Amino acid sequence: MAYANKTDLQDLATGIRDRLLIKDKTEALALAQSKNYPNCIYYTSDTHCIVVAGNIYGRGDSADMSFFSFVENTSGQNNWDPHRVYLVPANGGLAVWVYTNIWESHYVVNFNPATAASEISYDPTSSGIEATDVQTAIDKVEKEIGEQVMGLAREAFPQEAFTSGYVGFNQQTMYLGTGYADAYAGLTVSTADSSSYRVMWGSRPVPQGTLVVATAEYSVSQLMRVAVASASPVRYYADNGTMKGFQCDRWVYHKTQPSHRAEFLMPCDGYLLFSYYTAASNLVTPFSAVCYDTGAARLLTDTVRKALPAAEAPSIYGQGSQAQTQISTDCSTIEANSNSYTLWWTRKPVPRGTVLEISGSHGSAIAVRLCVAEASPQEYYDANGTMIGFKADWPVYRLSSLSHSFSFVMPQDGYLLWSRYVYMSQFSLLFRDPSNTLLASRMASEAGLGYDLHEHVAHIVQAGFAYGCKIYRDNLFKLSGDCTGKFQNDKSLVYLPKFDMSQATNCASLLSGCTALLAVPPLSMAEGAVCDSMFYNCSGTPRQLVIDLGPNELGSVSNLFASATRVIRIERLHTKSITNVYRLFYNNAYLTHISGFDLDSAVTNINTMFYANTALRHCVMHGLGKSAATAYNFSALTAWGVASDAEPDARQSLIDSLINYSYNRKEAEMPTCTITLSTNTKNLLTDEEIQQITDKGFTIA
Amino acid sequence: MIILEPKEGWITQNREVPLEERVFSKKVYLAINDSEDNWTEITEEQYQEYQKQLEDEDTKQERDIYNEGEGQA
Repeated sequence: MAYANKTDLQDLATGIRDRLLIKDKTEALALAQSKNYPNCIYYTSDTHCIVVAGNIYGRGDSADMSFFSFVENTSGQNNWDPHRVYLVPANGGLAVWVYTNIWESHYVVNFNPATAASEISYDPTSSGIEATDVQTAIDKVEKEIGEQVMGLAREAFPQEAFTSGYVGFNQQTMYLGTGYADAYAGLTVSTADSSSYRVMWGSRPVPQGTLVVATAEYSVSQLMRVAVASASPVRYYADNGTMKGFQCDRWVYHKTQPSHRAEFLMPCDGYLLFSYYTAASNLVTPFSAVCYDTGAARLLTDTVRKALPAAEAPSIYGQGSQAQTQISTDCSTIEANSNSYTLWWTRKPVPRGTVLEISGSHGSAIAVRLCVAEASPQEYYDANGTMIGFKADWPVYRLSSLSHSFSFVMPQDGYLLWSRYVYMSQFSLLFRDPSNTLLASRMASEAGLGYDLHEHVAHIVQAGFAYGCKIYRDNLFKLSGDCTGKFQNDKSLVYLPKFDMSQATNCASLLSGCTALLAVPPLSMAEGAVCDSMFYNCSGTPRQLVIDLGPNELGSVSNLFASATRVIRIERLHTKSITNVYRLFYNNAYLTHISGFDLDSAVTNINTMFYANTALRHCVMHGLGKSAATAYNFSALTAWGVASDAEPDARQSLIDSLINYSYNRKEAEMPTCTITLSTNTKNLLTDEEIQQITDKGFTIA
Repeated sequence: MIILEPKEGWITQNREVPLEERVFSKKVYLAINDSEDNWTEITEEQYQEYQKQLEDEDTKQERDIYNEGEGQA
């Protein structure tokens, strides 16, 4: 059984976040200048980059494609990176284009400074917003983008955590390090140095995996701190409203320097806390903190939910007890003070996100403590059965009072432990799933994917296992029969698990629109499998997918890799009996290598097979000229045969395709066939090689 | 081996072919079983006219594929 630990979760979150790296201004500028658009100006923020490009072309004619090429070196809008916003002039005015393909939406902002009116008629989504000047447009776009980002995050945790694009902060100028916080011996307490330091914190926990970017810039070195707390600082007010201090469970950032940029992933669910200098005299750029949904939070939440079948939920509330247990004084442990105090703990981990409501009262002030431990206290008994202590990873609550009443959200999966006075007359501990989704299992659907947090490889998680992420690794999951669109447009599908595909007869659109895919294992497709649009529009970054479709002959391949710009390399692809090759590799400027495919039977839509495949250096074709087709247009392959360090055998792939593996049409007394090559590729051929090709009945144009 | 090169314009097929199958080249190496009669020279102006038609077709295709993508999203 594999159980997630914190390091693994953080690694996972980092991996996911990497696919969302935001282009910066320097890169945008270099790109623009390399394309001879010197009049571009740029506006950047942490969410996006706006390029205001001057003197290009109007919207609505073919010249627009030049701009798209300028942006991404592709001609399809579907390939634009997330987080980007582009401004382009249009019809004498300006248009703001926002395309965020991971959020499945884009916006058009049309405005014309000269006429203060929209003049742009082309709006593919009908969701455009209008503005009469640049700043208004930018403001609107930012608002829209921000809401998109935060909208996703809201799915994973309370919406109050994100308001207006920022963490919803309480704000308090305060002195820390006294009073309450001191009660947590050994815990680090955030201290604000003076009244010039302000402490801010989120009103609700921010989920693990959330990308947080906090920035501030001063004219001189100043201190900025960021920390995560399991309990809300709000709890640390005294009755008279004075903040006494709060507990920072994890430090994230602590630096004294002029320019600050704390960019990190939430290591666990928790309240964000920031401490920063507020004096205006030294402040160059005000403090700012923004949270981004990287997708990790939702993925992790799903994983946890799947790990806890609903049917077992009632048994979570088991308890054990061990009286008179003195725990070590290590800062991460909880202690029971006397015989009168008893430790209790759950038999099994409580899932992250569970809401706990605690209440109790007694005739005199009684201390109650709660904490979360990753390992069961059961493991801390010695050989003779004496409990020797246990590690409490997250102290949650410690208060001595006549009555206790508070609630909190489990910051991570873990065993809940509490210490209370055994004679306490009233004490209750309620576990609640407020959205009624926490324990819901999606395992009823075969489409449910789990994630092996140790191996960073996705696998199918089956229902019915015990707590933790138990992973079945041995191809237990099969795709069979008609699997059309099984994972289509699943934007959260990052790693495709290993499948037994031997019975999957129709895989059309199986992974189309899966724009977050980072890895696809070799897929041994069934003989004759329908693979139309299987990877269609797997676009976005990073571009690293290597696809291997196995040793069997496929049944149909129309649009198989069309606009699949994440795919850079295609290994086994067998198409010997395929007649229709409609847009097989269409519109992928990042595909560099095709190890081999077959043209033996291809006669239909041959000239749509390639389009804008400008990076394709290594491409091996078998059976060229064997079918009744009389023309092959490979002019879109402008780099075919051009060797590089990464593709040293590129030229040989050209020779193999045109000479060694091609069909001899002359011998077969078939009509002449014309092969159109790009000038680059044609120039790679020697006179002798050209002679060999023409002798086989091919005209080279 | 017969090589065709235009004096000024471009070499293309000497017959009606669908636009997307029309070949334009500055240098054509004829197959051993091909004939010069199958090819002809066109002027730069004629070539540009073809290119404009192709460009229009490309634009249409681009929008088609874009719309397909939207439809699937």
